[in-house]
Amino acid sequence: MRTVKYTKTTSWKQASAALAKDPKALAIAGGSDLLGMIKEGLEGKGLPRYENLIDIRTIAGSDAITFKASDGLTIGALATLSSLENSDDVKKNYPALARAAGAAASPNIRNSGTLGGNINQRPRCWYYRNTEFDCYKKGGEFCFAVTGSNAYHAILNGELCYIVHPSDTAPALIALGASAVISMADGGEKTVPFDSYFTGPRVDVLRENILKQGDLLKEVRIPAPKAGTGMSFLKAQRRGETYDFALANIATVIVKKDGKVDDSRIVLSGVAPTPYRATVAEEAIKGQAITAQVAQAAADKALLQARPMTDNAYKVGLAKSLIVRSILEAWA
Amino acid sequence: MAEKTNAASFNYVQGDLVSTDPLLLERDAHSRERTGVAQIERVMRGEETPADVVADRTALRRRGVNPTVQPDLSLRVAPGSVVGKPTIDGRARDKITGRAQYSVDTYLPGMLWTKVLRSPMPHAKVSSIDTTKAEAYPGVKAVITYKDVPKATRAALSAEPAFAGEPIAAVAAETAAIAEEAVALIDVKYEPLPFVLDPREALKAAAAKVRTTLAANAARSPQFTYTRGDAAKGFAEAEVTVEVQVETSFEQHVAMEPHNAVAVWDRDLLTIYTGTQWAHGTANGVAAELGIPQSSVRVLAKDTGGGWGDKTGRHPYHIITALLAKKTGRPVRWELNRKDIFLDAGHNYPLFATAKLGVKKDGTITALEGTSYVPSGAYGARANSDDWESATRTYKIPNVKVGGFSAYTNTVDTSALRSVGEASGTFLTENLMNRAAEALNMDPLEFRLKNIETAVDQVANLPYSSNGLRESLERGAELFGWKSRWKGWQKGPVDLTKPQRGVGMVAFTCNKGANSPPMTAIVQIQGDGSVVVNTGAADIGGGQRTVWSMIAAEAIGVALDTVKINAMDTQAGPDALGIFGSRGTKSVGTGVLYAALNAREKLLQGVAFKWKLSNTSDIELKEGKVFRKSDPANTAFQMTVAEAAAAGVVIIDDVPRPAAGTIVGEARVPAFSGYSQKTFGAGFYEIEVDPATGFVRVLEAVQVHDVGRAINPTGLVNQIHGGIMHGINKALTEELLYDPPTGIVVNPNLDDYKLHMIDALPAKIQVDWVEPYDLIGPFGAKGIGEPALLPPSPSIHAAIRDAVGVYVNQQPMTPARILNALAKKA
Repeated sequence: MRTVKYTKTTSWKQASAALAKDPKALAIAGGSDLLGMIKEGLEGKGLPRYENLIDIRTIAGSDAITFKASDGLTIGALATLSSLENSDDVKKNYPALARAAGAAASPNIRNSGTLGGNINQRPRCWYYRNTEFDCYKKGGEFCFAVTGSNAYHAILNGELCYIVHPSDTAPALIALGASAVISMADGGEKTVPFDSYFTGPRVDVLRENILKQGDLLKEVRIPAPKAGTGMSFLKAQRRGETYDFALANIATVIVKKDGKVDDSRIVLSGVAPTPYRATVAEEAIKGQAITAQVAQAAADKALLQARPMTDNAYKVGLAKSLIVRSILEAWA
Repeated sequence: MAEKTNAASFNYVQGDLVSTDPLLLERDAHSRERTGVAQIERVMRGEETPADVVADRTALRRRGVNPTVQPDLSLRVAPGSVVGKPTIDGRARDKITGRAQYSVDTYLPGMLWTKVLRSPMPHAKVSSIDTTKAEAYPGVKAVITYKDVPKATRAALSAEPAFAGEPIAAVAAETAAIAEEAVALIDVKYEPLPFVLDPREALKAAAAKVRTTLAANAARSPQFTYTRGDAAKGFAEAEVTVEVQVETSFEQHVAMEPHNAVAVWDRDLLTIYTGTQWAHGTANGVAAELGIPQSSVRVLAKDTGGGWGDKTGRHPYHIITALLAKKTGRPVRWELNRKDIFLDAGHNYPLFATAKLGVKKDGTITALEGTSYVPSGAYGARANSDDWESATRTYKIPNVKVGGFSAYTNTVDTSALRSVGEASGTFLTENLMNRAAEALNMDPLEFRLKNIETAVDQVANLPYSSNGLRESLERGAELFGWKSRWKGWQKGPVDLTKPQRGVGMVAFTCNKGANSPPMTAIVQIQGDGSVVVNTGAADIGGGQRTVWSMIAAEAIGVALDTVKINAMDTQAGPDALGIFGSRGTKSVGTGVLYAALNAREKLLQGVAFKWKLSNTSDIELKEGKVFRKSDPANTAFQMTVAEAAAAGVVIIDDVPRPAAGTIVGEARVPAFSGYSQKTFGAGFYEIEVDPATGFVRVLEAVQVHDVGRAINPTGLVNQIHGGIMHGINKALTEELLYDPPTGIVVNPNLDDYKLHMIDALPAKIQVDWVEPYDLIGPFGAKGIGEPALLPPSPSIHAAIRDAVGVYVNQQPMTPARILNALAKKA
């Protein structure tokens, strides 16, 4: 329990400026991740003890969801997960995203948790979340998962730090070809595809995305789905359908043309430090008519690159199964 | 009621009360029906009697199945009065609506708040500690360290922490936030010492000592061994031998109400408000450690939000708050948060065991052999006999050789958790029995029915005071439809592309719920005929007070609502030991029963005096009315219980003398001898495994328990439902994990220490019991709280085998372990 400064903002520029000038400032939206971290007292050389919360929920219009058949969907970063889950436009045109939003956390948390927060939340690694372990991600000198309990850690692209990306919505957004509109520290704005939004430990072990201090995710834009698009979102977890982070999840979008796969995107969370685009599987199904055998072959190929640790080899089979099911579901 | 069930249903009921959204209401109503919660609620409201249950048992009796023992005991009463009638627990409505006050809701004027400094290492010596900065911090009223606490096996604050999280120093401050900030200002240096986490490693000669003062890490000397017959000979006679190796996990109790204490001194009287299963145990432990008389410590609880074995006796938080309160002259409060609890409270110990079983081709068991290891923590000494309770008793086995090793380890403290020992032991035993049935290609139910021993406790060599195991198995099989749903041992390949269903069953013996002294109570009949029961025992959410009221009302012959219970306070009544070992109904209830009978006799002596009868043998008291047994219609010999109470006498030198005043009945019942008293039961489960994700969904649960006799069927159903929910978590999710290189717990929080939510309850739950009328139980009753937990995990283990062909021998059976087992098989 500690005292923090709290400021309500009314514009993105004001919020970005306030954050840019104070390294101990952090934006707060739903607060469901941030407040837990503050209460837990997580800090390190590379993780400041946040003392200054800049509220961005108070920015007018920041939670709007608008759909136009011509342009696609625009979602304010402050839209709650439950508003996405229940939006008719989202359910109808982007069912994978509606399902991803609805798969996160619990109803209470989805009512306050925002899309921006779900995308930018910090990892759930139990070493990172435990004050007793000064790990790379907090500015320390070690990844304890390598020598310790790593059943829920990365099987792909792990290096230095073996977190898995915790977001349910991120793989859906990448699969849907979405872009991020970022309000920048210098007052400007830029648009970045989610393909290049998330960054791994080699780029900067202290962060999981390209946002620098003062940068804020303002909006998410998703193009209108092409004709013949099918999609799927699946999540495997330890606790039924309720309130759990994914062991692994997957979003698949397939564009069908003349009874064959014309284009596809297959993206998993829970297996790598960033949402993992299974391009090997995408290539394997391109131009094919999907059958269980085709899907299985694509999944097997995609996981050849997996490098499991002592306790997480099961995730290889799990990821394969999810890829198979997801391809079949998106195709159907 | 089991608190987990309460807590789970609470969410729904709360939704019902506060929500105005019709969709939500409809969905909740549906969920309640689906999970069976709705029926329980109707029963709780008195709108519905579990008629099916009553009818079922009547049918059983007609078939002569039940009861198995019908001794002529004068304590037996006609059904239909108070005992046996489904009764809503007096506390239920307050708890469900949030009005109930728990011990943790205690806030006294001028109260200070506590936070402790914990060791970051599993074993270390504190080389220096400086508290000056913390003491100078504004709002801090006192700081104490290991230098300020009395010596004890586990001192409340330690100079040589022997597990990560052990408290070193404590701060009392004006607010919790100040206390937390001040703890960070304590300057402490440690010298790390070698540590050991695994009991098998700890018992090796070269292992690091868990505490520097220990000569060896063996927590018991001698260790547990038990033999009968000749195991070697038994295995030589066997035609098939099966072996298992199982591992279970550290589990915390996760009571809804966190551990708590508020300590306050009034001159030399120390009062501690605390959620407790045993007020006298806490008080006497604190008195001994502080070196003050037991009479100088009062411990009392409000409602206690669950204990499951971890709120018994004195804990460091009692000593720490008492010392801080003494030092500051103010009340001091400490509510442990979940991290405090995971690191510092008690835990169920994991079992590392191997065992083998020899059988003949006709299904006869010839021999059992096994060895188990448990980590006792740095200070505990877990007994291992309970681990082998079910294995050595449930089945007829002539040759047995088992042993258990208990080792000190630099791990979390261990304590009892609901059916401690038998839970892991049953997971082991039933795994073995299933493998034997599989090896012989026998129906697992038939294998058990062939081998169960129900007449004699083979370890104690005594007849059972009751044993309804066979009836439980038969009744459970009938409810579940085992005969048609068991399809034989599946040997072919499993379709791993879609979810698979499987069924599994279990039988068990449990020593919890057997009688244990002190069985003591005071029962007062007041001037108007109303009754007060005085006991130091606790009601931890199981509805114990309702059961005691029912026993007293039935025994005396008065209406239930005239009986009130004074309990949960060392000043409320005598020490009746804790509410653990499922003692509430059976043991505390026995004390209440005999004290009530004593009060009744004293009351009737006054009546005999008034009616000029030489003794009370011809006087009856029923439903508040006193009359002559031989002439019930004679109005000259009738009075109300109030008139009887006013006619009080005391008998001095065989001469009754009129004496006004409260009638005081008392009892101190010795242990019953000549019988072995145990609880028994059976479980039948259906589950679905998704071989792609390793996720297990429990579809149906049937549990039938030998409870001796149901005093309050409503509370009984609730306890079994709680056991099912708790057992599903034990089977599938609960495990506290260590980082092996550092010896630090990695998941001391409810995010990473998973508990299922109410949606994990099976859509179909059927609960029943058999009533063999126990020879020595109060009105024939035994206990249920702990045995209710035993069936889920081994049944689910068997059902996973049935569904996808693999035995998952590590509990919890997580998706990771199921997928690993499947991958290994493939």
